[in-house]
Amino acid sequence: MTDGPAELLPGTLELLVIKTLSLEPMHGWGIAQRIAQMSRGAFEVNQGSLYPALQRMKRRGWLKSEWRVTSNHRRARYYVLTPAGERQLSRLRGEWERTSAAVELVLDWQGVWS
Amino acid sequence: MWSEVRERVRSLVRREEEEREMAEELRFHLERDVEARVRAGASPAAARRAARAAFGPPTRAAETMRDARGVRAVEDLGRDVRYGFRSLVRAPGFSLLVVLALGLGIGAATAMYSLLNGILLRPLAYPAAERLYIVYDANEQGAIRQPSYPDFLDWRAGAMDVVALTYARGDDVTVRGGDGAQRLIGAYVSGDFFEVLGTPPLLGRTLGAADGRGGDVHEAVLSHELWLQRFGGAPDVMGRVLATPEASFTVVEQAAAALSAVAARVAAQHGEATAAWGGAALQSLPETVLGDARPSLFLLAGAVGLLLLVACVNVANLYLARSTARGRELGVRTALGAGRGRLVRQLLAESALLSAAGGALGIVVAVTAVRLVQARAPDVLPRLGEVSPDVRVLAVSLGLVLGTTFLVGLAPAFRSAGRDVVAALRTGGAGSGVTRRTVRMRSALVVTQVALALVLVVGSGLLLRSLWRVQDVDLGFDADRVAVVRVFPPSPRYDDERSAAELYRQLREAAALVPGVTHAALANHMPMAGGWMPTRVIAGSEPPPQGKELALFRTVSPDYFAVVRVELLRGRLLDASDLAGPGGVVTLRRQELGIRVALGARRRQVGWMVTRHALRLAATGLITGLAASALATRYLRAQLFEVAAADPVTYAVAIALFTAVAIGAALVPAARAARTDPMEALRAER
Repeated sequence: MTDGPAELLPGTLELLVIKTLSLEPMHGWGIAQRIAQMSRGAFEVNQGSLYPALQRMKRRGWLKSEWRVTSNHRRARYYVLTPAGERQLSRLRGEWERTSAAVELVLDWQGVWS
Repeated sequence: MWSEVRERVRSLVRREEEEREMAEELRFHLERDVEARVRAGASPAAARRAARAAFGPPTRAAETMRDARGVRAVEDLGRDVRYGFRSLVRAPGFSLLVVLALGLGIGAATAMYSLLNGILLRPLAYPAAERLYIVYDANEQGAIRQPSYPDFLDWRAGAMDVVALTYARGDDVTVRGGDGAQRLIGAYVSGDFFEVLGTPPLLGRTLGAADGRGGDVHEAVLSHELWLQRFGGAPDVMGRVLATPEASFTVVEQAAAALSAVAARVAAQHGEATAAWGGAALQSLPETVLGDARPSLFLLAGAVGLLLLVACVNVANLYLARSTARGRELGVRTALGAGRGRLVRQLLAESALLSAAGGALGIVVAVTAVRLVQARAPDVLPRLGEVSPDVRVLAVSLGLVLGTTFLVGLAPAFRSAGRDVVAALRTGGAGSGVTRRTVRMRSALVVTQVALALVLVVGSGLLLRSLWRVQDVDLGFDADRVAVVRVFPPSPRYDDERSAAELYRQLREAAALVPGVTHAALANHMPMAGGWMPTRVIAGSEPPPQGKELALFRTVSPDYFAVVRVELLRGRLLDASDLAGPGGVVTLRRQELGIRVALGARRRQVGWMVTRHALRLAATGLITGLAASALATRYLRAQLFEVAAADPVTYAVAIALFTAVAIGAALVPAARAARTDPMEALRAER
């Protein structure tokens, strides 16, 4: 938190949301909280990008939404990962790993041009 | 993919519910945020403020969510259409004029070009109709007549290898049935008639080559109409006997095409020469069927094209007038954050609404007009039965007008979007803020419109005067007081001269006894109408010069001249085909004038300023229109009867009419301008 929230790379928000939902169904506010906790405050997801992203993913069939009652007896819209969404998790994750490995390779470059 | 589509449709259908759920979800988010901040030690008020700040404007969140739902465009469209409808209802005069202009223009053009298409452009209902010709017997002087059946048989024998020849002779046929005798249009044809024309029957068989060789049994082919009318479309019509006084016909077939066309394909021919009649003359079948209709139809099409153009100009001008008046409204909307795209969509929606209404009216006008022509002019135009309102033509004229509408409809959006918003708001009142370019454009449109309309009025005026002249021709007798009874003495009962003469004598005497009848006469054809028979006339001992010995010939009884009150030597026969078609329809419109209240200007001055502007435009239009009329009416000359193309009366009336309309059109806005309270005008519109 001291350095302020880190900027999310384009496309990563969806991966993080899917990962969060793969643990358990959650409402929008909860998803934002979980992401903040899991990244130890590095990622603060703004509602202005979170809810549109949720709508987008719902439209693509990765998520379903349903109204449930929270532990505090409040009505909230929960998002549930669909089987298609779970497939997306492994796909996006693979993509992310390839991207970050490549970025790391570039940053760690110490060799000489052959 | 499929689920995405389903999801979007669902969003759209459950729009209200989606909106409500979205609001609830965002509220839940905000409340949870506040609670979390309170738990972390903030005061409730501070927590609420902080949460709000982090949340951003609630409308923006909702907007982005709507965007993400992917139904934004459709929702906006609905809103644009609703908004457009409201703004059109607020300007009923404008909307009504535009819809009327569009409807009349589209309707008239569609009807006219449907006629043109059905009559002139679409080929006749025979395969290879353009290779069908009528063969006449011709003499050295170039006169033609129908060949006799024996002549035809000789020709066919001689030309069989070269060309297919078939025979037909049109005649009236009386058919007797349960409900009395009926006179039908028919033709006696040779057996191969239908093979040569290439028209297969819908039902039954065509005549065999053996038919027409004499004998007691004759065979007939029914037209589709007759089959429906007289036999109720019964499929078992074959083999029934049609009783006619001349002979009995057995029905063998009913044909696809009407029996009216008579033709043969010829490349070259020669038959046995008899005296001077040794040649053959060809006349193409389409030419024969269409005849005089071609020039009149093209003329009408030209007039209606002009009318459509006037409609387009009219609509363009109405739009411009409205858009200048709307500068302020568009300025306000721009200031409130509407993008250019949004304004464009808005104006497009209005144009689409107006065009839809105009198009609907156009369809009604087109269908009505075609029906009207079919009902009123069956003898004037050939092939009318084949004409139906043409969808492609409708699409083209609709497209033309739509193009105009959209083009001029969008102009204000681009103008206002490019303009400084503050300036637009400051000056864009009703009718003020009119740029010089707009004024020039509108003036040009008014001039064009007046000129085009004048051409139409002059053209219609000339045709109308021709029509009156034709109707005023002194026939020498009162046509209203002459009644005609047609008789058809059947063969062979009246074939010999004596029995025929006896029948005619009895008929004449019986007619003369009818109360109120002063004279009764017999003639083979009615005066001014019917067929004619050329015959050789030699007066005195001197043979007439070559080609001048033919005279028209009519068989009449002695009291014929008393009936029609014609002195034979002074009679002048007229050709009814001189009658021209109806003129175009003219739409005129009052020019809408922007009102500029000059501070300090006297009311009379304001009024005069407005009037002068309008009159100057009208005068320019008139002069242009007169020049155009002088050029255009030259093509009318063939259609005119005893009226010069430069008929001064027609021109004078047209000029007077247009001047009156122009003055009227100028006075109304001038009076309004003069009456305007300057304070009210400055305070802005509505």
